[in-house]
Amino acid sequence: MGSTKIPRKAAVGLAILGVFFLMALVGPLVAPYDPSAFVDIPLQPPSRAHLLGTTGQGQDVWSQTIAGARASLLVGFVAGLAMTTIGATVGAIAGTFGGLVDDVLSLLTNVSLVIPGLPLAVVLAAYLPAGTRALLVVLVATGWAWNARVIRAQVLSLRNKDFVAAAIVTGESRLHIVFREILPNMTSVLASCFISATVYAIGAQVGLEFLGLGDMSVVTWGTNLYWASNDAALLTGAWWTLVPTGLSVALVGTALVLVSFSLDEITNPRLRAVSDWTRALAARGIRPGASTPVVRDHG
Amino acid sequence: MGSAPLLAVEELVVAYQTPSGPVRAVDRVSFVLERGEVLGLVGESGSGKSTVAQALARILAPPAMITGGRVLFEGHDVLAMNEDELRRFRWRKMSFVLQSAMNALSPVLTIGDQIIDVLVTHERTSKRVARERAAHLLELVGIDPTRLASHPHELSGGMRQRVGIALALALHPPLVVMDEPTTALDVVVQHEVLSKIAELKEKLGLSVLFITHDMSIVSQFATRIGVLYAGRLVETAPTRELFRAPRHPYTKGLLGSFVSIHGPRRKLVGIPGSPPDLRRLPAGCAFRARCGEAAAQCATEAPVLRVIAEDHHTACHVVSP
Amino acid sequence: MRYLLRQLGLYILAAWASLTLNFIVPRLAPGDPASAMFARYKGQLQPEALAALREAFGFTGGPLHEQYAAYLAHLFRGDLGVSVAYFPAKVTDVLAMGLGWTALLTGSSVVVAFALGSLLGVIAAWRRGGAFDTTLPPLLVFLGAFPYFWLAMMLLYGFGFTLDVLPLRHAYADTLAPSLSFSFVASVAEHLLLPATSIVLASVGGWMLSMRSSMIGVLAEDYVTMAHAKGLSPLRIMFHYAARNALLPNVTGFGMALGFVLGGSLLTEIVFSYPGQGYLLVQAVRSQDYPLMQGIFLTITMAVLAANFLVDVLYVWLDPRTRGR
Ligand SMILES: Nc1ncnc2c1ncn2[C@@H]1O[C@H](COP(=O)(O)OP(=O)(O)O)[C@@H](O)[C@H]1O
Ligand code: SF4
Ligand SMILES: [Mg+2]
Repeated sequence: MGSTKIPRKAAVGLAILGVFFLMALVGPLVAPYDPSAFVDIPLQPPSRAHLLGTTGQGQDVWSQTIAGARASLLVGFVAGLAMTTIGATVGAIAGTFGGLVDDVLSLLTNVSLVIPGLPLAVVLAAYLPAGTRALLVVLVATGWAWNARVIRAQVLSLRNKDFVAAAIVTGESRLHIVFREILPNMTSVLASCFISATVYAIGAQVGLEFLGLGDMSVVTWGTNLYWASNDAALLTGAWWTLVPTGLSVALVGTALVLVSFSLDEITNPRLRAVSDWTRALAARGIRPGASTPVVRDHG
Repeated sequence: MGSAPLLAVEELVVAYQTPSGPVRAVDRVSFVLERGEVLGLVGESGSGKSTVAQALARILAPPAMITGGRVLFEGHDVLAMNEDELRRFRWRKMSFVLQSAMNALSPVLTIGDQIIDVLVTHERTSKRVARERAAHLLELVGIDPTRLASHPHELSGGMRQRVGIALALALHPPLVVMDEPTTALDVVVQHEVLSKIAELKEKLGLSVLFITHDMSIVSQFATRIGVLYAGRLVETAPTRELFRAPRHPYTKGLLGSFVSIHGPRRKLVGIPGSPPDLRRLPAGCAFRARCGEAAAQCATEAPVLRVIAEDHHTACHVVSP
Repeated sequence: MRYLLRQLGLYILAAWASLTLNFIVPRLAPGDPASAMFARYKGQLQPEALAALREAFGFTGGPLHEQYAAYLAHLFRGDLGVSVAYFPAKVTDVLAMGLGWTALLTGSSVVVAFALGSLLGVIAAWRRGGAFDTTLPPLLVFLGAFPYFWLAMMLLYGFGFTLDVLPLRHAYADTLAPSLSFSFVASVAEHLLLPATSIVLASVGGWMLSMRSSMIGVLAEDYVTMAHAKGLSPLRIMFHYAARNALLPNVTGFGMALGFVLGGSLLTEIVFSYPGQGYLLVQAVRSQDYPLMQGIFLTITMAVLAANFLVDVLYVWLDPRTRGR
């Protein structure tokens, strides 16, 4: 029961992420085919030659999945980082300064939160020139506000803590307090904000590309699904054009969430105490009921 | 078992599961509470008072577990009861008034709902009869019965605490456990609530386990007092005896910082140092680091409660009868 | 009632912000896409239609504030221009076709997912660390990590295509005309089942987790300890005391999450060719029908804002503490 060892959830999550990072990093070097090239008869099921079959355009699905990992993870993490940076800045300034600054920034945040993201993203993406830069702008514009809200709330609860009060008393500038005293003290919150922003970015990116927004000639997880659906993959029974990409998106998302769960447990050890408690009782053959259990250890 | 005391706690041990393993928050606590008696349980914050209280009815939330002892109520062991027996035992035999009445009442239910459901559950009365009874109960604590329709946030702190008392009396239980019933209140309201409790105790012949960290309050109420330190009882005696001749160095410290009921009130801050970390209790006496009278033996051997005068128990190596 | 008024103010501001975004985006985008759009439509649309479209978008040639005024004037008359994809239908008429279906699909699946997820969250928190609590959340997290439309495609493939037990597309059988007859309603329900299930599967985990963590907080409250002390039945404590309080933050979150879930459900419509706003959206994207896209953005935003306000009213009803304020 050492508290220093990496929790199991985090270990699983990090392992999955590691595999995908490796895939994104060196994958294109080991991918058997050019992901966008016509390499064989279209819509062949998985075989020796094509581990995951071929698409309706005669491309190799395995090579496409690998290439998609690079493009989609890059956009996801860059957008996640940008959203966290903007959210943290807005949230921390609102929370630290208070007063009118807070009112204005909070209003901006809340307005941004209640406007539904996908329809706005569609309008933005339709008018911006197709490309990675536009995609990033769209993702960040529709996704920053949640982080700002979470971080503002966290700052408000930190503001009364001693070290912030001390900084205020010693006359440090407000911005110094925000960036030097407050933000460094909430790394775990920032990390979980970054994680949820990245999950959002990957999902939203896939969704927009599935709609046909963005550059359809680039191989990403989103365009893979777009083409699979365009080529009527389902009606021809070509499940293998859909499953690898969908599974990749889900695995990355799940891995990120698992890491975030573990962060919660590490920063809030009481969350874990109850699980340990249940396990300790189970070890003695006791199922927890509504009343405090009585455990008699003899010896 | 007509001769059994109302409540006899024997060697009660309670542990909380923590990331660094189970921690004993209550360690081999024993006491007896006779009918009509008011037993005061005193100790600093974190000494395990609430843990003892809630263990009595087995309402401690996870990650708590009771790891030893017996809780005999009218001779029946609460720790051996099954869920059905416990549900019938609770509130009918032992009711609670909790520290902060703000949180002891659900904010989304009316006062009436929260009194009526206990009557309906235990006495299977109709809602209408229960409502009348609830109105009487509010009158008993001096609150207008129209308040049954109010939500907790619409009442003042003092009123909420009196609602809590009315609720505790709903089934006329022989024992009421009051866990710091006045701590969250200001002095005037505190006084008002205390006199209400005193009045009702006389009128209804209640037995009370009265928990507080405030010596001045317990001196007005309790017939006997138990002093808790780091989850262990360090001294028990009749109130008079304890105030006249405290023996344990910790009790002496508590009373030293207590001036008098009529003098200026002071909180329990008179003893230098702070309570030990329960996860790393020192060998020997838990109070040693703060004790002015410590001897060599205190570092190695944990003192146990011993009789040092009639009805007076102390757990300290340097105290002798 | 101050709480409701404040929320109403927020929504009005958000409505104004989205109207204005709708005006600004075409003008701010690099490369003047609006002109390019009109240039492209020149071949497709008659000159009068093109002029009307320019009017509706405020491209009057005057200074910006005049353009804005013209745009708002048209908007308040309910003129969103004509659709290119469905030419010569007006955008408002096209939108009207899909609004009901989206409301039905999103509304029903969001409500089911919320209710089911909250219930599961209550149970998981009540039996924390137990078998249910350790298996279900990771499973639902995994399910929720798939894109909504991907789950939709899998369900479509499994139940519609391979097993052939449920319809593949549209909101009701092509052989029926909309009416209040039993066969029509049954057909609508049958067509609703798969898309709604995929939305529920994708979103139920989120509700479960947030209800679970809210419950865990509430279970440590004194009023729950008190309810145990009172000897009430576990079911009563669980639902009447704990869940009722734990629901409150989730209801607040419901409004916020609505816009997000809606995005997923629009994509699900596409998979099932469900004739709602999502289906229109993909038509608009494919034929670069900017007026329709913007019309969809505006209507959906307004609908979400209205739904948020309803949720706030519900909140006030659930939490007596907000009533006085
Ligand atoms: N849920 C919990 N997990 C771990 N330790 C706890 C928990 N609740 C209480 N404790 C510990 O048990 C001890 C006794 O607490 P408590 O009974 O509340 O004391 P008191 O009522 O005298 O202030 C304290 O040291 C406290 O830190
Ligand atoms: S046993 Fe020793 S250390 Fe403990 S109170 Fe007595 S004298 Fe002090
Ligand atoms: Mg306490």
